[in-house]
Amino acid sequence: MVQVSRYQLILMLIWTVLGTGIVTMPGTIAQFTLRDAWIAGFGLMLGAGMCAVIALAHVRLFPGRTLTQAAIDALGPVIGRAYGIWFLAYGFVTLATIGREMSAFIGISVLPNTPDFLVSAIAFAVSMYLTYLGIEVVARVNEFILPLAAVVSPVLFLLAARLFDPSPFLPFLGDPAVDAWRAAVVPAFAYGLEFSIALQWVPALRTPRTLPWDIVIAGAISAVALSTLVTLTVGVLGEPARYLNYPVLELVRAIRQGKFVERLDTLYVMGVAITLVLKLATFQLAVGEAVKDVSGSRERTWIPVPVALLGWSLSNYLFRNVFDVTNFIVRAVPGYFFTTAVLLPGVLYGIRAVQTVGAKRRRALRDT
Amino acid sequence: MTSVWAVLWAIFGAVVDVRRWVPKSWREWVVWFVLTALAVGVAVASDLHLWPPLGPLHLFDLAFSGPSSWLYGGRAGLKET
Repeated sequence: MVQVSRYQLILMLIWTVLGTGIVTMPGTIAQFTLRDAWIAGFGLMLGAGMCAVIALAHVRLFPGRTLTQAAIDALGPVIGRAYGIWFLAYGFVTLATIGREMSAFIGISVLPNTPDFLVSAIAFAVSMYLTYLGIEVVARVNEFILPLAAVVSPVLFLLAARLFDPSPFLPFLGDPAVDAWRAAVVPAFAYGLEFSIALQWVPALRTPRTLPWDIVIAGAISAVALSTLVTLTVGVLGEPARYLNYPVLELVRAIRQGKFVERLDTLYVMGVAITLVLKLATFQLAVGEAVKDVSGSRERTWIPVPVALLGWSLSNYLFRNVFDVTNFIVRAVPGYFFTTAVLLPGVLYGIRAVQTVGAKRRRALRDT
Repeated sequence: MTSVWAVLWAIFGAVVDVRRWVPKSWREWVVWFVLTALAVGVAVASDLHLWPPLGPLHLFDLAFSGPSSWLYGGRAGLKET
């Protein structure tokens, strides 16, 4: 039985959220506020907190089961599978969004003459093979890239910190609180709720009982990293951060050390490309588990090919450009993810709790 | 004499083991076919620029921009991006 350790799980969760988070979130936060941008990054903790509560209910009511297996257990084969199809739609739309974010980012930053669909095809093919090899391999690749991130990211941030100017943050907390809240909605509800994807990995976890704590730890680390990144971005770029699609890319491009050290964005793009492929792989693992549960199959080796193929097709079809992606994330995703990752599982666990209480009462009546 | 292509195919087959990618039961075949057919259909629609006026993104916007607006703080609605 393949088992993923707590350390591996926390790393997988961090890269799952920060993979696209470091590309998209600073830009979406800066659209709402600059002065309070540093605090908006902590919205991730709110999403992580909600996911931790959901995970706590899940591991107590459905130990060792995935979310889609739990739905079939609690709601029966027909309604449970309908729930599974809803989850599949959520998974495919998220895969498409990640794939399009990636192809647009790579196209704009390093491969302007390569068609976006080709870039995303390569990314989906790599992540498909990772998914085929299984969750343990994905977890080990997450561990493998940690040294790159742990060495390169602080160096880039420290070099950028020389250009930091605190004036965009003054007066301190000067914007109305509602602006800070609006800026925190995307981190909290669009990215923070992605932690709930771990519910699909429960059977592969070595200690599923600690899942809620692991989500909180991953959320705290991600929130600190995101807030640091947003603070640096706004401090270095100032007002123009509002109008850039990829402000962090411009932050890294702004680094110049001496006469020869510049254009370090290649390192940044390499890191982002790796984390995006890993994010695609982790979501494909979750979607693959849902396909397995909905189809009632025992094998999962036949699943990655059609899942990757559909994810790739949808990423090219749904979003014609970066504006479509950003608009979708800002306008629809908070409500969509809140419904899918919080409300529906909440209803499911409520039904299970009622079923458990009813069964206990019937047993007590029979005994008396 | 064995051709180069046969050797390459044998190496590829040994590394990837393509036979395991094939569904076994009829139920797996149905799901595989549905997902692949959807993927091919969507790819063809994308290639032919077949975007209906009320596309999937519009439907998502209609269904979820209301709840999102509520999360953003309600009455003022979303800020234009």
